[in-house]
Amino acid sequence: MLIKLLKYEIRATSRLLLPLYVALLIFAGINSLLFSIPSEALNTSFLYSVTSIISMVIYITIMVGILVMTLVVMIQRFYKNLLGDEGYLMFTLPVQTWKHILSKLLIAMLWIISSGIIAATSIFIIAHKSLPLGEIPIIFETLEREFGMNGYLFSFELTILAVLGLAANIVLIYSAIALGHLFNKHQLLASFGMYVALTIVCQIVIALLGYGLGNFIEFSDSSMTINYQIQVLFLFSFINVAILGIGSFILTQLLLKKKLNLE
Amino acid sequence: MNMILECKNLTKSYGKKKALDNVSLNIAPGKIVGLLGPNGSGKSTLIKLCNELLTPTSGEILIGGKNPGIETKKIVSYLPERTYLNDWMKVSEIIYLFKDFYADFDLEKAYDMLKRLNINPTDKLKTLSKGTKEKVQLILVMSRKAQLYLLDEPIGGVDPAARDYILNTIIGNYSENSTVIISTHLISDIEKVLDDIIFLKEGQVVYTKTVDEIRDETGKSVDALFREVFKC
Amino acid sequence: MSWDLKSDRPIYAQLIEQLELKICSGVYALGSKLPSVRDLAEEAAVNPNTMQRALVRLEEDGLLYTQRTSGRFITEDANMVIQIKDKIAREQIREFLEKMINLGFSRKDILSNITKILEEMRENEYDSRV
Repeated sequence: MLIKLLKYEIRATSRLLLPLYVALLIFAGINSLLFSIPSEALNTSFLYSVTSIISMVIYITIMVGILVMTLVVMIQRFYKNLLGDEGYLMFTLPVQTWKHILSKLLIAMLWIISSGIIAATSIFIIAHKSLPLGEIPIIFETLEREFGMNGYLFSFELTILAVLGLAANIVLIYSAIALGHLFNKHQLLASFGMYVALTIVCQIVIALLGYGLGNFIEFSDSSMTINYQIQVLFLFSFINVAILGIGSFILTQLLLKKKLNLE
Repeated sequence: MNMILECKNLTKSYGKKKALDNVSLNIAPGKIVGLLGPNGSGKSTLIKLCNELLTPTSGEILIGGKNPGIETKKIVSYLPERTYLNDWMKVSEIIYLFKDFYADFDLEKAYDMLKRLNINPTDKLKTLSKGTKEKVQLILVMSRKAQLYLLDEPIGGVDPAARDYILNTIIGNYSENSTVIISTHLISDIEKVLDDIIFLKEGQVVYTKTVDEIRDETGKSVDALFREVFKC
Repeated sequence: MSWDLKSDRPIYAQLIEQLELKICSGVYALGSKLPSVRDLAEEAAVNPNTMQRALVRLEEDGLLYTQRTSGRFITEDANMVIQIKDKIAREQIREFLEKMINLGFSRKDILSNITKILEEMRENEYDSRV
């Protein structure tokens, strides 16, 4: 059933984002072409200046559009499809509540990551000549030499943490929306307020945990390598993200199951 | 006989207000039941509780012996009183969604009904009129071979011709294993179709009788009795 | 002949009357097969269970009979139909007479009125034929 939910989720969202992706890449290509024309030959051309400015403006507009649309898709699919009128259909399907949340989460992540990759690709298309990509191995080597760190492991851990952090933050937004839905009026405003409140609570919890961890590191062996300290920090962050994500997920699931009240 | 729907001391409150107040009911398989009452009497609340769209404050609901959940959703076909159709699918796509999620969905029957009601399967849901949307939802709901149909105000918004078609569909769909519960305040249109009547008033059951019992005992139609019971 | 159901009397009783009427007037011929319960219910726009009960009652009365494999049939017994017709006629006349008596007509008045109206109807029929 989760696979089926994912299938319909992709169908509902891809029609909104895929055309923007295509448009962004096309305009990145156009910009790249315009840049590649030797500037001395055309510097004085009025037409060239106008064309390159317009195509750059369109490119940036689409980029902003993708950013906004990605956020809208993330929030809309949860708010409208589950808590709006469409919820009457979704919640009477023979599907567990957690699968609904998970399907929304996975597809929101898919689009956020895709939007990121597409944006990065478009930048690469435009500016691939001036990007210092060749220096990455050198950076890795330096890390290894100076701090005893494995650059590849470090990037891998960073990526995993980023993906998990993304997931946790999306579920946090879901739980804020579900909490906001408990209010009879101004549900969106209430959702926003709940999000602020939840974020503050999380910050406090993390700060307290961090304080504890700081003590822990201080009291342990002072001759720890920087690499070791970074690994401890990673572990700490993983635990934070896991608590945040799982806590929000359980809260959201509970609210949708026990406190659902569709208009 | 095993009851298809049992409510035991069912109460649902919103704050201090009781939408349903200690309701106990038993409904047998193979019946067409009218859930009647004025607006705000708790009809929709009861139906939503059966669909797990609300959770009881106290008491219990059993559908085919089970509490509302995945297993009951497989055997309950629900028509809400509002449109739940999204704005991006075609009629054919929402039909396949139902086919995908409900094992008891009869695709052929759905297309047959679309044809008889002159609805084009390739039309976008967004472009349909309100009445047509209601018809599409009714087709989705009645094309399932469910054990319990819960129809919340199915005849409220449609024209008289469609109303007759809906009632005929309900009669034609009748089987000994399935029960239909219809909530409405338009009683005169449907009372001939009903076996039993449940009158709800301010969240409480005031009558559960068969239509003929009511007519026999009072010499009145259910509609006339309803007007008397709920006189303002 | 369509189904004409009043809203203040039990549907079950009305269905029995209407079915009897349909059989007597030849809508359903003697010995012929009756439509299925569901079709009859759909046609009359009534609950199938109520229709079923009415049919069972008519079966008990002997006007219908069931063949295990092929469904319900109308009786072939013409006498039975005559009896039913007689019964319906008696009910209708009794009802009419009660109304007349309530209006204050004497038996003699009622009889003379009936003869007069019968006479008129015969003349009308004759006129329309000429």
